Amino acid sequence: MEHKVTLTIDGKEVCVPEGTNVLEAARTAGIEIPTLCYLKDFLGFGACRICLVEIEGFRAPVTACTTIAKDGMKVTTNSPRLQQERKFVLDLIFSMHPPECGRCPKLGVCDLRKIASKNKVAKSSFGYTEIGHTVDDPNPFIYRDTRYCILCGKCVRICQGQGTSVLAFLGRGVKMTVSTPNNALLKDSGCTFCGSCVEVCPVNALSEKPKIGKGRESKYKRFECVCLECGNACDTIVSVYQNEVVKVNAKVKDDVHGYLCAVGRFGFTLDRGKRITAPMKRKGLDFEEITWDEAISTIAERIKGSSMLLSAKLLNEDIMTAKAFAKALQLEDIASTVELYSSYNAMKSKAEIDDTDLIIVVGLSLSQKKRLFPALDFDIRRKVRLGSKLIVVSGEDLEVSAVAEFKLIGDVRKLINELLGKESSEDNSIAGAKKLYESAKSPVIICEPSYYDEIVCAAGESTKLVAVPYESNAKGVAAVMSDVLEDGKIKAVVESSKMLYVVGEVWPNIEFKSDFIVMQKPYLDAQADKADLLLPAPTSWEMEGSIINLFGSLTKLQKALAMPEGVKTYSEVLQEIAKAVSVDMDLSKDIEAAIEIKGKYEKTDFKGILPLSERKLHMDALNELIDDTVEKFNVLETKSEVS
Amino acid sequence: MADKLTGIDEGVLTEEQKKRAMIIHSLFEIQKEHNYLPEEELKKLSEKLNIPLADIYSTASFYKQFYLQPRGKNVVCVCVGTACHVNGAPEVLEVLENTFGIKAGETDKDLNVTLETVGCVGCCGLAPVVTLNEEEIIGEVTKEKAQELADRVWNK
Repeated sequence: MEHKVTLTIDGKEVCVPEGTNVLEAARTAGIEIPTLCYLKDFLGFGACRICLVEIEGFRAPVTACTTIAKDGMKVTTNSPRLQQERKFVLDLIFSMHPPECGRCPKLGVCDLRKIASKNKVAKSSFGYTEIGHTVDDPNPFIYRDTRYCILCGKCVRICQGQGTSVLAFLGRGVKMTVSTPNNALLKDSGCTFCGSCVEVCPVNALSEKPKIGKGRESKYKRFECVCLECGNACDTIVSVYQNEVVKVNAKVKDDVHGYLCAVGRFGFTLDRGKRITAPMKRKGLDFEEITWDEAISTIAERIKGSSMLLSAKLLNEDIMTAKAFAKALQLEDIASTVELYSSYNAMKSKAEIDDTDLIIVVGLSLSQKKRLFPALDFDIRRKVRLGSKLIVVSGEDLEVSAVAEFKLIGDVRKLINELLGKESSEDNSIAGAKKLYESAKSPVIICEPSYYDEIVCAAGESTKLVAVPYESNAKGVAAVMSDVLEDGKIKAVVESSKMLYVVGEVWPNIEFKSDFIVMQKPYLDAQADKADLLLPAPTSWEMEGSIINLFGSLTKLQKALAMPEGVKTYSEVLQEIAKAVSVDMDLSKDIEAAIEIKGKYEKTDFKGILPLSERKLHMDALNELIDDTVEKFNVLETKSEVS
Repeated sequence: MADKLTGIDEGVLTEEQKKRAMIIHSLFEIQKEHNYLPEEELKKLSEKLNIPLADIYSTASFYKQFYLQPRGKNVVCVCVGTACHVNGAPEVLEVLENTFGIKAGETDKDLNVTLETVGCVGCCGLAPVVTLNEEEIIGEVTKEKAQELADRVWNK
């Protein structure tokens, strides 16, 4: 059993696990000690000196974040002496921090300002000394102004903790700055523009560039959404100002900032092609706009016996409508993009990594630097930092194996049997890993979908196992529609010569053979070029509903923006088509019932259509777009400098 | 069991800490060979030790003994401590700056000489003091003596 210690904070008795720091202990008692540099889940840093507390028997005040709670400690978090000390610390911080808060873009959300006003400090009695620091950094996403930096080190620690390690403290004394190796620009330093540093910055030293000139942050409306771009499906907070997305943040859960990659955080600024706002019909090489009535009747004419392809980025509600639609019209050729990379069976897997003591990653390409499931990489590193163990089983060396107890590189299928199954191995590290796996209390296996069956066979059905999809709502599709869909049907569907109705955004590399293709999607991009009839669709900000994320839990999305005029949701269009052909749909609104996962595990030989090496393509397109944007921005910068 | 050589208990240092402890030693070795710390060499070191480049720069930039810019063949160091300052170090520095055509803390473009200042050399009785390449100490430097030294270094 875990050892506990009991201490008294401001007269309140608190019982916390051994090793907890005083600041965290106070939080459990509901006492908030002010701090600027403390990052939960990281060791106390003691940089800002704001969290000073008095402890009985100690000569001088100590920082709460670096002091470990001991039995019988008597802590005071507020006293005239502490107030005086805090004021002095703020006085020192302000001597190197620009004093004109009125002009600062972070006014209203600045942590320093909040603590300063509480302690009634407005500026430094020493005056303000500006030390030559960098302002801005030519890139489209992150604005860096180190004059505001208070050297709290949050950005440095989060960057190191997630394994990118681009930022560091350089120099010392008053000349110390937070910078990149050799003071290189962010884009030359290996920065992935995930913006984790921006997320944690308490002042205006790091901020999101896209929101500059878009009003004060305190005026933003915030919505809880989910990024639908990859299988990771990260929870986001979308800020809207004057009916425009200006900022996307990771959701904060239990005081811990989540992770968003550049696509999730800054993806809304990318140029993904023209928005489709009205139905469009092919006319030679181009498209011409038509009315909704014409579009619906064109589809209604051909819908009987046609085939349908569903994107696994659709929300559960739309998938339910699609299911009712397919049933009512008795469409047989229906498939989803899940079949490209997984069997529906594997997509029924669910587990949580919150309480695990051992994580095993099998065959999944995780990369912070290439933005392949970077948030999962971040979560795994966080679990390891908190004491879980990690085993990596892979065909290639992964970045995350830097924090792994064992990394097993080789033939993944063989390694699965040796590590999880009954086969034994001479190899020392496999034997060691096996021992660790067998002694673990609640191991969780995170795998590439194609290894799902092997793992179940080797480790048994009761193992906590998660197959990671490549699309955000693949698990929703599997939960809602698996009784309608069939593994591998997608081949027949895309090769069918009848009308093909593609609902939602699908992978860019699918070849269609149909002679009449209807697509419903938000942007006029390269893939839309294959269509004969285009229907507008909402973007992920404009939809309301739910998805099932990679761990198998239901997540709700709020509607952050109104749809532009002329755009209809996926469900609305399907309902209108059904009405046009006078078919009644059996629409149920009960999501909970619809997603209840039915059936037991059945072994299938289906492993997805696409070979392993091509499975990341969906994300590749967006990653390239991000890198392009960074590159192009530089060209523009240099040009303006010359002129 | 304490290690005989280091006196450190076995298991006290993790592999990671041992690698980190190597940084400073490695930096000295690199500097010995190149006279400063070239970025390329630091990148190689980062790969070899599997420590992020940012952390290596953080360590290297903390210590005044490490140089991230190329240095000259000769290093002239003028003491500007209190005793030297009072006895005319500013004039000595001015002579050297003018002769070399560089400011204190800089290196000339041919990498001939680097001019530095230091807080105290530890022989205030000889003030003002200038050191050359950390081996020769010149005491009681006058303007004339400084000029002589400058010419000697410049033509070396």
